[in-house]
Amino acid sequence: MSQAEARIKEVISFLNNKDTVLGYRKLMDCVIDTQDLDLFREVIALTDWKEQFPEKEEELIERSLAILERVATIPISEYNTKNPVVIGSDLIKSYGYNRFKLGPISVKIHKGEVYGLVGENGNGKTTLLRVLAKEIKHNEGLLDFKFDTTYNSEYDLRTNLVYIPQRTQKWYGSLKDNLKFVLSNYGIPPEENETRVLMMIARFGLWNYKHLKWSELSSGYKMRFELARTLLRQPELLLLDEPLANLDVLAQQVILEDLKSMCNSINNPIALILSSQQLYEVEKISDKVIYLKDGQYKDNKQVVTDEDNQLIVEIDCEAKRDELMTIFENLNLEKLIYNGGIYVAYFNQNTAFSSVLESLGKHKVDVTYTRNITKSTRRFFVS
Amino acid sequence: MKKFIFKTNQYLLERYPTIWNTKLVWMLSIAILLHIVFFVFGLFTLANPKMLQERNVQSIFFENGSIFLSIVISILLLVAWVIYMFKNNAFKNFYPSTRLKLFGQFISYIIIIFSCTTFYISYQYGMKTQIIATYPDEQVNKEIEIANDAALFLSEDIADYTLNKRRFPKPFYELYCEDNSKFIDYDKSYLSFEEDDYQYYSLRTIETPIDEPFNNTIIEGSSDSYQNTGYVFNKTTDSIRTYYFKDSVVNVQGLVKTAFPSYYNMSSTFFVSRNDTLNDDDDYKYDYSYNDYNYNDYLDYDYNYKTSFSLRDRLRNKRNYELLERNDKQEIKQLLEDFLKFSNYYKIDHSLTTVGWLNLVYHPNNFEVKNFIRDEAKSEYDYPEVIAVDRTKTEEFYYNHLTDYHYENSALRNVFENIESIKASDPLESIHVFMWIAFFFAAIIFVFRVTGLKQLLFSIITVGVLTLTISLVAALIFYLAGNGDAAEYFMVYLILVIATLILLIPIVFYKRIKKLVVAICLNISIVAFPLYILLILVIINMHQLDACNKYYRDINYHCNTIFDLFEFGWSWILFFCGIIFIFFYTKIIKNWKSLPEG
Repeated sequence: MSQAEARIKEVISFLNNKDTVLGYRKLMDCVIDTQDLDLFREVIALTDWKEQFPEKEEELIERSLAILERVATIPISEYNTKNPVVIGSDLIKSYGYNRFKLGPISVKIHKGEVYGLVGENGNGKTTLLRVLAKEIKHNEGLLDFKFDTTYNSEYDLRTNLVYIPQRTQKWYGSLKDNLKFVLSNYGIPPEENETRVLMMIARFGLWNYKHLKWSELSSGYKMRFELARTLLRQPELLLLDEPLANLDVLAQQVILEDLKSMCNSINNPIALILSSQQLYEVEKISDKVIYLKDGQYKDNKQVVTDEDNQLIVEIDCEAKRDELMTIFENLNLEKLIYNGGIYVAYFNQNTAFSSVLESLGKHKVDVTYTRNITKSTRRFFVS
Repeated sequence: MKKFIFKTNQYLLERYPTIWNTKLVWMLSIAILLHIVFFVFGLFTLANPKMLQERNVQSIFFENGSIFLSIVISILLLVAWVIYMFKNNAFKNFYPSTRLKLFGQFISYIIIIFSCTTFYISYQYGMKTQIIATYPDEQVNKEIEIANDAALFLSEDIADYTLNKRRFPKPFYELYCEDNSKFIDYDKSYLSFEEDDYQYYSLRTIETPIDEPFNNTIIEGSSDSYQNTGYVFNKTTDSIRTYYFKDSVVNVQGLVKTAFPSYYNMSSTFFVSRNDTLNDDDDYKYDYSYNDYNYNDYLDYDYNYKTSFSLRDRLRNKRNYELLERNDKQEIKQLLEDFLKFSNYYKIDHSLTTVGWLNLVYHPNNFEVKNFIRDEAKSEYDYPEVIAVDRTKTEEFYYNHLTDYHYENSALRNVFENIESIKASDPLESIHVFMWIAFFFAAIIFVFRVTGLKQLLFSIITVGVLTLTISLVAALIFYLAGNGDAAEYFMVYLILVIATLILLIPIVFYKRIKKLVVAICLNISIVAFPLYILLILVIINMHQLDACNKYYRDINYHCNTIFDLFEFGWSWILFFCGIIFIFFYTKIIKNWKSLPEG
């Protein structure tokens, strides 16, 4: 089964299970990959109808399935993501003698993959992003871009990579005009312009917001419009600095999901690097997490093999330290750290997370939160 | 309307993003509308002929508030435009941009700024159109002819009618009339009226080749003695310069019927039209030194320069003479009537009637001037300028014969002058001012759009600091080396070197220098490239002048330099140099934009 077929099957099951919101979003991803403007128009019309009659879920599912049927007939070529688009080797950026120094860092970034860049404040996340975006110079090392589009100048190269800084700029004038302006600058034929813009507006759930002004939007929707604009540019490399800042948990999830699925486009994938403080969320969608500490770089997989394969569990509960020590007596507890709010328990590598949960349950400890962070970069934050 | 604007905007947005962004279509539409409005203003400005009686009505734009209106409208338009345009910036966001697109932006700015600042030109065209339509050449020429004929009888200035003004018939135009009692030989024949005496002289000549420099000793005699050579004037033809000198006294008593002021003597022309083909001045190209006696002896003397050896005066006098000789009362009456008819049309202030005027002036016996007309209305509190006891006898004569009639001749002269000058004016002459305003303003906006506010401000600061430093260095150099040529050359070459460096940095060294520094040089290059070319021209000009002056040594010799090659054409050349430069420079701008910082 091809990737496209698998995805369509997945969408059908979402729709049949009445996960309409998710299913509809995924449906739009499938449609976008076809690049068929007739289908675009159909989805746009459906979206408009859906916003007018939100209660008619059954009919929506029916019509969505009909569209999917047509999508299935259009062949989609799969993009070969084996070759990296960006190769950085031994990149070093230093802000002068005896001051902050980033690197040396070597990265290979592939299309269709999401790279999460995590680390505490002041450890070089933004610096690395800006180096990769050619916003700032690096002092040593090589940075090579292997984009599909040929370019004659550095400027043209930079039209294919988009860096969105933490503080995005205000948009002036009509939001839709701003989006159309992007496409006409990218040379999209005039008759396709409106359709593509509306498709992207529909995809990011902005249908009812398209007539508002920038100042009338909440931070979450501002970020969505920013992403819509960015994705209309069809960049090969996308660098996002703290896209989740100022967003609530739900908005964070939606945006990350959207980003992930747009990057994972079958025929037109994007290489995405994003920095964030939201470890859990980022780790959840990232194919690879890059952890920066004092300008040095570790990726999570590497870290785990390097050090002891301990089981590390975060626990937030009312119980006292002694109490926990007795509970975990038989689980080969090696270390228990309390950092003021949360306990971090280090167990022997043979201990299973499920037995930790079992013990806690048995002793009826009132646990508010627990998480296995063995493979998470969170372990670097809490230790 | 709203729908139309929206549709047009969408059309432009989808097809021509740069034009949509620069609002070229809307700005041009508004500008054209306003140009039409200003054109109509211009049409109505001079609708009342009374307006034409002021001097230099052509520049009324600067006096009646139109300039204020025009400036305010221009500022409002441009500010609104800039606000709308700054909403989107494709280049700043790294949207794909070709060199042509960037250049197109700049050209749009120039066109918009030019069209929004040039309402003056439309206003002037409005005025010109109205004048051409209302006062056809044929009609005005006829009126000028009548005015020149009728002016004979205006009788306003006694000096026009005295014997020394007589230039016709022969031999008067070959004789020189001496009216300065200091130089009159009272032993020989002379004429007198009241205390004024007139003595006629024949003229002798000295000729020199034209290429011989003007020789003062011919006029003044040997330079140490300051003797009176009796020099009157000189006249130049293609190959020869002729100096005329007083020769011997001629007795004209047989030819002159009366020494009284007479209409026969009137030889001045009321108004010389631009269309007048009489090439009077050419013959007298260098005749500004008429009657150049050794004035040093008579410095306290109020001496009248004679400018009457012109062909025009002779011909005018001839025409007047013939009219008077015909002595046709009806013809004269008709002439006066025609004159008053168009005077009334132009609303000239006067109190004359055809019959009344005719009675004042028509004295067929010798046509002596028996009555004078005022050149402005007698005021209620009429005090003569010269108090009675101080009057000369001639003045006394004038005041005794002065009537209460008046005719404001200067008003009519201004009317003709204004009509002709407005017809001959070319409103496009001022285009240089506007195109350079447009260029610099467009360049500054362009610079702001491609590099940013910070870079623009730093560029302004840099220019200020550089100017200050260069002036200080100049002051120091001139203090140390004196005002010599060497110091001047050092300074211009120093500026040239600095300018060249600024120009080269973004082109050659951009990868090695901080992005901000490159931006500053880039900004200065874009705005000031025409000035750079001008600097080179100035240097060439300096070299040429020096070389030429070394060769000729004569301070008065005009050395042709590179500036004389195209004169005002240089303005166009520099302008297009600046524009073409920006076209080629767009590549450098793109290179700069993609430079990483730090």
